[in-house]
Amino acid sequence: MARLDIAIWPGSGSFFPGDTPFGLYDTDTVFQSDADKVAEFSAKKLGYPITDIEMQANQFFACFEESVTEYSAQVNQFRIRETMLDVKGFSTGSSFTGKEITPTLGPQIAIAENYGTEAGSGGNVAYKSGSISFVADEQDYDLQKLWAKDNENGNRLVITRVYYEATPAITRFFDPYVGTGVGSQQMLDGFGFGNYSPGINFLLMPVFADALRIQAIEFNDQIRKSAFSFMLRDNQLKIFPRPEKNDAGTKLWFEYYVEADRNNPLRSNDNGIAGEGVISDYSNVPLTNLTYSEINSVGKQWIWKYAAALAKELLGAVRSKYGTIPIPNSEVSLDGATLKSEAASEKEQLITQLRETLEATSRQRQLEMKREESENLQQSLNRVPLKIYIG
Amino acid sequence: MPLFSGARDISLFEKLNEELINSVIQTEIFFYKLVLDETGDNVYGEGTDKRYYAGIKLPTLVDRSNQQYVEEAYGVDLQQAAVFSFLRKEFTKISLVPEVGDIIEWDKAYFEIDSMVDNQIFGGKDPDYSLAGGMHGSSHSIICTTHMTRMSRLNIEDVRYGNEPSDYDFPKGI
Repeated sequence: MARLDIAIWPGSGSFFPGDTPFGLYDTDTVFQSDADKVAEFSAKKLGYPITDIEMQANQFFACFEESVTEYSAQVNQFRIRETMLDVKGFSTGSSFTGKEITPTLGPQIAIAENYGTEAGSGGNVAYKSGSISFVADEQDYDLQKLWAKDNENGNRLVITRVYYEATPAITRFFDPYVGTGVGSQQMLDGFGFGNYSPGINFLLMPVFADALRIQAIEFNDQIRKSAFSFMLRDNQLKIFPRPEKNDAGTKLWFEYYVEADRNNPLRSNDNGIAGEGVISDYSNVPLTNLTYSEINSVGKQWIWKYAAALAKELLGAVRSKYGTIPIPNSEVSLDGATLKSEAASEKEQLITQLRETLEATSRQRQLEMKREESENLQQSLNRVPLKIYIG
Repeated sequence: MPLFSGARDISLFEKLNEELINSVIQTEIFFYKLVLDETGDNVYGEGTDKRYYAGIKLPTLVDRSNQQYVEEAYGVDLQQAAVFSFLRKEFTKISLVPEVGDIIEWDKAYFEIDSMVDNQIFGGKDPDYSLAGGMHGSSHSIICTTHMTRMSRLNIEDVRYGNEPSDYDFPKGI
């Protein structure tokens, strides 16, 4: 008769690299020495040597490895939550594990750049200039057809400015410093200053006088003449007045950006590759498992307790494959379900405790604590009696 | 191939049984195997002078009835029935085959096996005979139904003096 005699926990283990499923920490000498101790600790927590433990050393080592990995995952999850805004868009090339991440304003500014683009002040989309040539007697110009087709692969343009306006009024304004044409010459003559060079005006004129005069010129153009104006709808430009024969060939310039550039959500990284090689989300923040030997005593204590809970869960699984097992002339119930239930509760408690501790170390909570400390200190100091100064 | 009751599971059962019976409960008996060749008989084939191999200590589970005092023609007789349930592995690992007529010593008394049940087959398969192969199922136990027998018929222990060497000279029925 073929039989198997599956060995169970003999009371001690002897860890050797390769004994864990993933081998994540097998080369860490501190992990190696602690593996045997954690196995013994877990077995004793489960009742050994009073009761047999139907597990093998490798199973304890697997629990230990999982426990360290769970601790790493919890710490790394917290770091991602804490720093996601700061690290998003940064290169994935180097690991953040064990390194301090300094907050930056980069991501906030990146968000603000979109507004800058729309406002035409900064932003991260290239503003370009284009031109069309007037055709005599033609008022309508299709900018998509006349410019985008050949220069922007037909992409839709967003026109931000059209340089189609009258000549600045100042060019038709006599030099205000000359003094002529402003109705003051006679007065200057009265003072005896009229014989000086016309390029010199001894009368101090307020600047609003110039502004009013320029405004008068522009109003005159708009109301009494054919003022320059245009209308832009769906990148169809309609200009007024109608170009005349001698206007043909004259260029009309405009400023624009390509709508696809504005809507492109993929940012260029340091190498100029849009959206690649940078931290995009939770999944590619470059954080690795922690180095076991570098975890402090607080963390190690958590890991050992979690490993013991995992071992209990595993033993529960072993003992609950069969609800009852035969004994001679009868049968007995095993405690697998109870073990699993207890282990689940212990695991949950440990995870909750770790998360709460991590949250308490968050930047926000630390600042709140500092503020509370400061306020409390101030309140305490307020109750200190002040000396009465006697002069 | 059945998914349950594999050799690994059986190994687990045996470990748990051994822990329960050998360590937790730890009720132990002496099992005396009858030596047929050395046992004399009368003209009727009755064993009048029984001989036994030395007792072997085995763990077991005991289900005993109360002692009964029965009025016989010769006077009051003490009777007691008991069921001894053994893990079958305990016999196979020492290559001992229990049979009707063997004696179990327990609680200052000797019990003769009247009948045996070897029928607690887990998973419906005895690996020794299973068509599914030897890696599934288990013949788990041997249950011996016994009655208390007279010490004087066994020649195992001196009825009057006991087996203490300083009190009495060995050997006797063993």
